[in-house]
Amino acid sequence: MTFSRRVLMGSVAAAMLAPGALRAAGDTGAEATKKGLRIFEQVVRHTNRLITSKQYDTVPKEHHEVVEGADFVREGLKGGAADFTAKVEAELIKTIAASAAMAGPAKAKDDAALAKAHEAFATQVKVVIALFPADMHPPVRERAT
Amino acid sequence: MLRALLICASLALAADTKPVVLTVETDGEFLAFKPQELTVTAGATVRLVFRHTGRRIQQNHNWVLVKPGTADAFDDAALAAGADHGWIPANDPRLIAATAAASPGRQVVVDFTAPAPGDYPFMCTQEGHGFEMRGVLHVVAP
Repeated sequence: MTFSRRVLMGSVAAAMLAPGALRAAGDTGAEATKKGLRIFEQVVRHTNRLITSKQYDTVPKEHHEVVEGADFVREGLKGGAADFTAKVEAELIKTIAASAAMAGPAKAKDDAALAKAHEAFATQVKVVIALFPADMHPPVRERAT
Repeated sequence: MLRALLICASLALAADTKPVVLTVETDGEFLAFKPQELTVTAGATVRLVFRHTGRRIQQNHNWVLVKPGTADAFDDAALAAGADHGWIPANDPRLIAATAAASPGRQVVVDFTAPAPGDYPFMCTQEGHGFEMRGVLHVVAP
């Protein structure tokens, strides 16, 4: 095999192993969207647990999961109808903002404000999920124990 | 002749103590294990391999085995222990085995002896995940 051919094949292999390529290979549009919606709901439950347990420092750390969840939903909508995508995008922006809004009350250890912020976040997540058909909604969680 | 017998006995003993390897992983980015149920024989030497298959969400997970009926209380205690104690309550008698925390894409291992027959809860205790990231180890009689 010539050197240039080896370099080309190596580049192709490296590109195939890139995280983006792996994501594209692993998640179809619908699967990416479902994953994002499930992540949103997961964060709602997890932050509720953290708030109940007064783990204030950990609450803001969950925000990056919401950002990733929104990215998954966006990836799932690529190539879809522009008006629906715009509608979802508007709600994703609100969801990310609602998640970020928990940071201040968490830092202040303000239970009342944090509970209110979490309720607003949870409500906004429901709005996003409701935009999609039922078969895209997160499954009902049944804990193993 | 005696030497040959001793060698055979050693090999037989080594085979008997070879660990049973159980593998469990995260369900990708989600707060869930795959599989959620494992089975092993009481008294077996177990090597539990835990793989964090998440890639994008930067959160750690671990695998923690506790005594039956103690999952909820242990989860509360782990949350209270917090990050300073690696999300594991120190010197807790309810604890049977625990891996180190695994970051995305990593694998961790813990060796332990399977306890008496029963259903033993396992969970991830990192950052309060234990409220829903759980499974069951079924220990059966030999």
